[in-house]
Amino acid sequence: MTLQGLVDATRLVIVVGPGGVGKTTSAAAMGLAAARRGRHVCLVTVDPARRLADTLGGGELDAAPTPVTLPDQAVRGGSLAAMMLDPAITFDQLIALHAPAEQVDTILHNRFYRQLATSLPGIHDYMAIEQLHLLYEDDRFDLVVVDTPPASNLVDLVDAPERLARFMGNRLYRSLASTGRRRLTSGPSRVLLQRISEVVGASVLQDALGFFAATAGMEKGFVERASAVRRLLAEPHTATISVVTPRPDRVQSTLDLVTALGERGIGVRATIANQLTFDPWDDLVPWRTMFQRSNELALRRDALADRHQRGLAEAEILRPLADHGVPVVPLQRRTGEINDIGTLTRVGDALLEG
Amino acid sequence: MAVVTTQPKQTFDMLGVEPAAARSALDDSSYPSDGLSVITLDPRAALGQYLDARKLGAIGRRLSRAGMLDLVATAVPGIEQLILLSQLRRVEQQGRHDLVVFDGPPSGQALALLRAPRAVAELARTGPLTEQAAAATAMLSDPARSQVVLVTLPADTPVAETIETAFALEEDVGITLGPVVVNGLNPPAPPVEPPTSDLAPELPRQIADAVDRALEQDHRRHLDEQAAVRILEERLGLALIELPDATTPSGRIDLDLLVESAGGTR
Repeated sequence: MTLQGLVDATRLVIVVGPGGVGKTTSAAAMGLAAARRGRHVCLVTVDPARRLADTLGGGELDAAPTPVTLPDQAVRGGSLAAMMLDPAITFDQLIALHAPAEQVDTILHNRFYRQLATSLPGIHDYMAIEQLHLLYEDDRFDLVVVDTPPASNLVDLVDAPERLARFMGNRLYRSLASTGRRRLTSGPSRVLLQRISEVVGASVLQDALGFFAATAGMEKGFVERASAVRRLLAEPHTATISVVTPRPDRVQSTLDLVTALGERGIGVRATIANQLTFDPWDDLVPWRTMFQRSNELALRRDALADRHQRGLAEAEILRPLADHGVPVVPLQRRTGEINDIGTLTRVGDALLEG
Repeated sequence: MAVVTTQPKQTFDMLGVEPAAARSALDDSSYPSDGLSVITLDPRAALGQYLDARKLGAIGRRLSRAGMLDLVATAVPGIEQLILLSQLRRVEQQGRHDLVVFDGPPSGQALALLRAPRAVAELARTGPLTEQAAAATAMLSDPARSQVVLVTLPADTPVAETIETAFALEEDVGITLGPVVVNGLNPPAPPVEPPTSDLAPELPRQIADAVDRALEQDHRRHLDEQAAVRILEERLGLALIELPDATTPSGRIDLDLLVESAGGTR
């Protein structure tokens, strides 16, 4: 299926890949292209370059979806909204959603919770996915495009919902928290608490127990949420698209990602190979004697021959992806930044044609 | 010297080292340490060993070892990173190697790693972890013992990320920054003047334009890369080590070329 088919038929597009490969731009370009084809799109970005943020939001991107003004031509009733991901706010929203009303404040101000919300391993990945789920249920949008955090451990991304659910549902902590409220009489609990507190410090333990006591009863919601998110990721209406540039290390991490996701029942539908060298060498071959006419032309021919070698090397670097059965959508290198909606539109068109 | 890595596969491939030649950081047995050693470090295993030593590995039937690891790692955000730093500190203090190079994680995770001692110290306030944290902080804040070499690519996003990371490291961690490596630079390319159609009028216009477009891209890319390097220089004021794109036609990295460009010998 082409990317055009994908943006027409899916409800969720998750864009993944190593940092610095053009993930945010690809996500924005696909979102814009889909909106121009009549979809109601919400684009969730993580950390857009300043000018991309300007292009999308005319300034600061907010943690709530903000409409983007589309170019006049070819808007078939579609719309685009963009927002920036703020993991801490998303987590707060989740707590507000799942916690009993009288506990919300206690939880939000708990030191342990604050620590958790910013530094639980994979929390940013989890919040990206969680945000996607919240938007998926939002009637204003029929397509959500999510750009995932850069430099994330890619397996963490998929495992994060379950890790959080497992953590929230930790039976030992839960039982300790409930004993903690009464008196610590039973031997094993007390020994255990003592040992944990010797390692992590008494105040950490106290904060943690406070958190678990306040979130009692919420774990079921989190566990359900985690399995809902997992189901969502594996659905046919969800497409995971990876972005890569022709560098061996990045192709390798993409292959690792494809394998790890595959083990979890999630297929990568396409890989956007970004920053490819534009290589017109083949068209030039019949004319190559003409390039011997002058020094200047010969220099140009040599430079083009170098480019051709680079193009061949890139194809070689990307080959393992195709060998692995991942469709590769080529996207040529652009020069300069994307600082207007017209440029972003052209990138989107190039992607959908690919 | 020793290379310490949490991603052994890539390191082995790159250095052409047999996995069997590598040592685990958790392994205390002695081994010859002349030349280049590769030491692997598994943060989870290190945390496990740490907890085992404190009789917290597994507690009866109520909690499995994996469950305990999970619990502690999430209860004390940063503990895993702190233990990893402690392992590095051990390798450093064994004194077997003149130089220990740790192949760190990407910037986001690197910050989390290096901030961990302070984060844990603030959270735990007392107890053995605060001692570990203080020892790690002492290592990180002594430029004779440790420095960070940031590695980046000559493009807008990586450069912006590197600058942000550099400032965060200086402010939050207080670690000394060494030279910054700019990797993957392309050779200079002249502007395309005059257009190819002027030099070869009988060449079909479409082809002449494609030639110009291709060469213009090389030129602009070179300018963009130079601009990115300048921004790095101006904002950071650190020495730069500029390395060429060392991807070979077969898609591998030419390590010798990198070593030579950095002014060393292999």
